[in-house]
Amino acid sequence: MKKFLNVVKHTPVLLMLIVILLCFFPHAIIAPPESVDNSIITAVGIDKKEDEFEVSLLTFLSYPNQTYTESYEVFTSTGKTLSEALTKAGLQVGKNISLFHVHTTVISEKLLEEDIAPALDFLVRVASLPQSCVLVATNVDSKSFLDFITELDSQTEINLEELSFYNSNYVYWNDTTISAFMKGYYSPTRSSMLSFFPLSKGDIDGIPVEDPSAGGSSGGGESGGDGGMLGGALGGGAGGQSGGQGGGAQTSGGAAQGSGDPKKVELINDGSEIIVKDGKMAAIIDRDTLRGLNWFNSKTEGTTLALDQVSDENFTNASLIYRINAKQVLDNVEYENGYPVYSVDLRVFVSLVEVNGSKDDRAKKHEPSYISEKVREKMEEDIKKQINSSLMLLTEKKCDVLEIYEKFYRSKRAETKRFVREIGDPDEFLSHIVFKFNVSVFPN
Amino acid sequence: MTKAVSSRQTGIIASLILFANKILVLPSLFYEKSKADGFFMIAILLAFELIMLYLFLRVKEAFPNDSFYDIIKNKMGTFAAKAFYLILIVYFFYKVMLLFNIIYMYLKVQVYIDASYFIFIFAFLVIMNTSVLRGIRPIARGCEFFYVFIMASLVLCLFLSIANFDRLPFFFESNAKSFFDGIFRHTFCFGDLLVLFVIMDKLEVKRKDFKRIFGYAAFSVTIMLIIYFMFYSIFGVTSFVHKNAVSDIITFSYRFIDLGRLDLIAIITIMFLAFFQLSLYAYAFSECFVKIFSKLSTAYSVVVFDILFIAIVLSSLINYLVAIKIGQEFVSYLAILLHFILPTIVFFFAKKKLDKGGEK
Repeated sequence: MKKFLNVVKHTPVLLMLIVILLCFFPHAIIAPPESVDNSIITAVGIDKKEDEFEVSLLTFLSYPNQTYTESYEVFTSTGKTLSEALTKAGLQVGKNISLFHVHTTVISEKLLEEDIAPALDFLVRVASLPQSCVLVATNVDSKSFLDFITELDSQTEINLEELSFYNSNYVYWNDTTISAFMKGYYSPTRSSMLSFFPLSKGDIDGIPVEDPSAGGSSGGGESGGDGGMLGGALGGGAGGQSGGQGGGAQTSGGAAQGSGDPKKVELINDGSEIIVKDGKMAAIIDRDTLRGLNWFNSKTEGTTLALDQVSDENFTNASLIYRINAKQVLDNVEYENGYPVYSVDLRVFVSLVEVNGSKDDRAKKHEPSYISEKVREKMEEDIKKQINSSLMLLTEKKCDVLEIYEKFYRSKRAETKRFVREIGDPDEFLSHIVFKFNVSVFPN
Repeated sequence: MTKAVSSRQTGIIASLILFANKILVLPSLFYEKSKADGFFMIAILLAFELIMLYLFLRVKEAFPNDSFYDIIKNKMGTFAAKAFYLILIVYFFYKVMLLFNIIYMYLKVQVYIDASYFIFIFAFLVIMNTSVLRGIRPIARGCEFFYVFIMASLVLCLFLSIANFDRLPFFFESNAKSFFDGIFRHTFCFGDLLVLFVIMDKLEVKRKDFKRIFGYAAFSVTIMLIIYFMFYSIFGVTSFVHKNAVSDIITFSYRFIDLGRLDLIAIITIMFLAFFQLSLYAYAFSECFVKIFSKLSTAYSVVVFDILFIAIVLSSLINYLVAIKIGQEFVSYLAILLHFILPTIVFFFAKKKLDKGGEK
């Protein structure tokens, strides 16, 4: 002991280590786990109901069980402010609400009628919600959506986060996190895009989940009463509303609801997105419109392009499916006669992957590099049509999600400022742009 | 006189202290003032830091064995020396408070949301006290030992941040007034190399090692410039929201969510940096204290430091926001005197001596 004390005496670092251990070790031993005081929230939903915020929290319950299964529960509370709602949620959970582990934030279409940025700003800056978490919108109230997600996870092992990542990487080809939303919101064009995951009833190629609380003989979701926990939410008008604003989106319309198995609710992941302007929903875009927008994105590869009724020297009214193997997007901005001109030289490298047509057509062997002059012309025409259709929607909604204004501003700052001054309204900039496209398709 | 700190250790101290208060909250403060032109603000202010290092090396060349206090005392008199050192005491204490509060806020959010001031006071005060009482040599050796780890971690952070790179920042969006006002208001986060002046008599720096020391500092400056560039590139218009720059540039992307706590790299690095930086500030405080109150020992300076530190922190007299406010409103004026006027005056004394072919 004496020897040890002697060593400690001559080694102040050791002394310091002992002091630190003495101070922290007992506390570390007796302190309860953090999960006793703090809740583990993995997803948060925000709604607005009669001028009050409704916050739904998908909470991981860290209680021991013998089946080693993860247990989740959705807690909901309301308040005049988000902080009040979160405090009340804490009362329900019996723990402090900590949002550090949140991976997904859900907002309802109804909330998107107002500017959602203040709510998100509060959650990010004050409540420490990670900005890297995925932001998704849905056609039902977020509580019902979170209930659905819980069921989805337990019945199919599919989780929303993975679906969102897949969409971001292979469907939207862009980031759909809160951070991406905020960037768009604070950008000069004040436009951004959100993932859209509507729920629906009936068999329409969605991810089905059996609603355990649904009544067996109810008349579907129209009534909303006997449709069960999940189906009840679909009985209201949310779906119809989204269908109206959708500008062609077929995914969330009310027509599909009420048909099929009343006990079954489906998550529709068809690649549709919501365009948001000033924090409010401007339009829902469907997969086709998204395809048009993705032609501007050089990252999008591996997608397919279907050509219907192709007739050339080899095929007669056949459907040819081409895979986009690579793409070069060379854009240029300039002012001609005082007007902004946005020219895009699009070079697409494709290979034939599928032939649907008559028996003769199918019987023919075709190299992946097959492309006739007629096919090439049709493909170039189709691509231009897709692009034009998407741009029309953006111009109509004054949502520059392609950030074309930023491109002009970067390259021709003085001229762009002058032009915006002349037209008066920066939101009108997109409608004044002259678009020039040169699409070239090559076999690959 | 036995020299304690080698040239290499001096370079490492300069390299590590340069990061103080600059890689967490400062990029967002710059953005609030001048948008992405904050990159040019940091470039200018870091250039001044390198100029200060050059001034220090020339002063050290001219007065290899003298302390900073002795130089001022011999050239300007005892009163001026004591007055300057009194200001330096306040300055270094403020630096400790600022750094402590920034680190506290950072670690509280990143590591332990329920942590009280008390836990952090204890953790950091023990380190600072031991460092001061043991002297500059153990601090320098500690810095030397962990230097490679710290710099490698920062480089790794930058490497990981490349995956989040979005687009080039929008430069030249601010006007000259806000730009230069921003530079002036944030000088309180700079001038860290004053520590070298205060401990100059304990450094063994030869003229042939000047380039080497400059190289260490230039490496840190380069890393910081890249951090700022990546920060403004990644976050763009939302840069003002992100208060923990070096952590956020590697963790904000959804691509990294599945990789777990990547920010641990930044957290551990920041903690090591903070330990050394706080120790150096506390040591500089103690040096100034002992020079003014020459009859009191270092232990007294530690006691005074502890009482002030605990009282102010626990009373929340200077918290995170207050520390930044004080810096922007008051310390910036003080910084002109300490960062520019004082080193320049001493530099001219040194130049005069060197021109006369004095001691080398």
